[in-house]
Amino acid sequence: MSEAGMVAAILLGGFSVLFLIGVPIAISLGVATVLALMYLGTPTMELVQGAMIASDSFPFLAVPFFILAGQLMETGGLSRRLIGVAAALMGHVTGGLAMVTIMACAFFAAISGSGPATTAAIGSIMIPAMLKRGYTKEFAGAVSSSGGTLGILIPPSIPMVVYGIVGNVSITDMFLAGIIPGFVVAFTFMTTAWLISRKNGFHGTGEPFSVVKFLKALNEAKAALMAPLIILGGIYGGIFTPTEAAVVAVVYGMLCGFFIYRELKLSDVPRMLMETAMITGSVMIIIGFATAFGRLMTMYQIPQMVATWMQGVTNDRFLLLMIINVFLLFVGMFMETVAQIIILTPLFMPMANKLGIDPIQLGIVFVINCELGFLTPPVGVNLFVASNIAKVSIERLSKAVIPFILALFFSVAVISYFPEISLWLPKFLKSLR
Amino acid sequence: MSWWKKIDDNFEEYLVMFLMLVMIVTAFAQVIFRFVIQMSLDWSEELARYAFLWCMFISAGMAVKHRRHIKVEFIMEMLPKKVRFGLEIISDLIWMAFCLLLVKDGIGLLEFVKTQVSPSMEVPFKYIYTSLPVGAALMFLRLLQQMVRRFRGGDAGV
Repeated sequence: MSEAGMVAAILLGGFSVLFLIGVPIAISLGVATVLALMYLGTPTMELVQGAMIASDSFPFLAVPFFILAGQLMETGGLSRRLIGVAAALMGHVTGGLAMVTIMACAFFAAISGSGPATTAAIGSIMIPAMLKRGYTKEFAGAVSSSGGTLGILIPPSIPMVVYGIVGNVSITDMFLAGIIPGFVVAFTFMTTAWLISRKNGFHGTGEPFSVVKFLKALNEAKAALMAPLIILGGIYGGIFTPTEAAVVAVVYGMLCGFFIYRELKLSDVPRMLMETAMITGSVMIIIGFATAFGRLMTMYQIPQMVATWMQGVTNDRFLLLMIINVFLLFVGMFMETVAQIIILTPLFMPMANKLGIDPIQLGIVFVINCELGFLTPPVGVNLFVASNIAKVSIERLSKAVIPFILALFFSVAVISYFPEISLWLPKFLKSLR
Repeated sequence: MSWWKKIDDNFEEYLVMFLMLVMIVTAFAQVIFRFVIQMSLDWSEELARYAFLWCMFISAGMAVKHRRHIKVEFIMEMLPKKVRFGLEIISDLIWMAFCLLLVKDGIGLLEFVKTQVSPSMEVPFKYIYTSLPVGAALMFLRLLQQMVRRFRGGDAGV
């Protein structure tokens, strides 16, 4: 076997064996990299050096800040006000509360960058409400876990921050590119929920739509609705970087929670800081070692080998993206989302480049596949969150979520086929400048 | 030994909270200074980044204590209890050996960067790069603690 082949075998084989026997993903990546370095006779210090350089980056600070902002806004009463707006808009239609859930998730997604956090924020209020109105536990859980996936597609988004850094793509462009696909996915989810509700006789609230009520809900939620305007407007307006926007969101979340809605207590904050650090720490350590792992792969041209090999299979952009989709769907069942992005982005990017697929579209496709990963057992985190709230087993919830998985897969196929769905908005805004 | 238990329970937690606050305050100060006072800070980004690095490595140790490192557990859950116990020990031993290597290489790296200082605050790199071996050592100690508890019987952690 050639040297590059051996390196590929050690890296990928070592990593797979280790993480399958229960070694944490970060450590599996690190150990595999060390083994490959030892085989090559290179000092293993290269690993710590690579990990250090990769982690020392200001854009990554957006990750803890967006996580913390989401927590502050959930506890601070913003999620409840956003639900109020969605309820005034959609409550009366068939499957009203399911529609409200998905729409409220879409709103909350505009201030949160995480899927499970969005599921928790909206689901913890909407699941009990749905159960009260006679929706089944399975359906209520499925709607909330699917709606929650919008958290990472509608900006801000933690996976987009990571993709932007790893793939050397503008984070701002990624955020912009996610907006229209976010609407597409929200729309297919709502259609799915509507069809299921009609079949099962889940009615709306019975109260007709009222402009007065809607305006009242808007007024109640104005501070919450301002949040995405400040965060996203600030980034797109070139006023601040994504990281700065994220810290502004943290401070804004505190202001709302402490002074406007007054639902946040000072004693909540230490727990949130710790929780945020823990999530960030466990993700960042993966990023550090995965970068060193990826660098070694790139050095031995392994992604290029894969790209050349794939070119023998297909030269069609759509087909390639669909192959990537199916592959990611499978990998996403077992692997945590951010880890998936860091490990696979360097592997797929050369391949996509060769066929002229825009890295931004590839990123959006990646992110939607991460959404699928949130919904597919055995490691679908949104399912865990929703099953806890709805008190329904993962098995039953996994079955109930299948129509939504199909809807999401349909959306990603459409978004793969029409690059403009992702690319139009960032291009359009650039043309205005 | 209640003071020891207090440190044991809260050491990483307090440190991490402090570092998070430093990150928030400096990053926000950077925004405020630019807009309100119209003066760009040149040290804020560096300070926030270095606090982040320290925070990240300390959290790595803390995440061992709270069992929050991201793993793939579903295969383990399908195995019989005895096999699972054995694999858990093997995987923790690999993890611990890796931590020791990180400590060694992390200290080695310090020697490498000993003359470098950060561009704006002029902090010696060694103070920043110490975070990695410290975090690795912390992970090792927490893993060792769990290993000892595991063999003494009883719960292997929080």
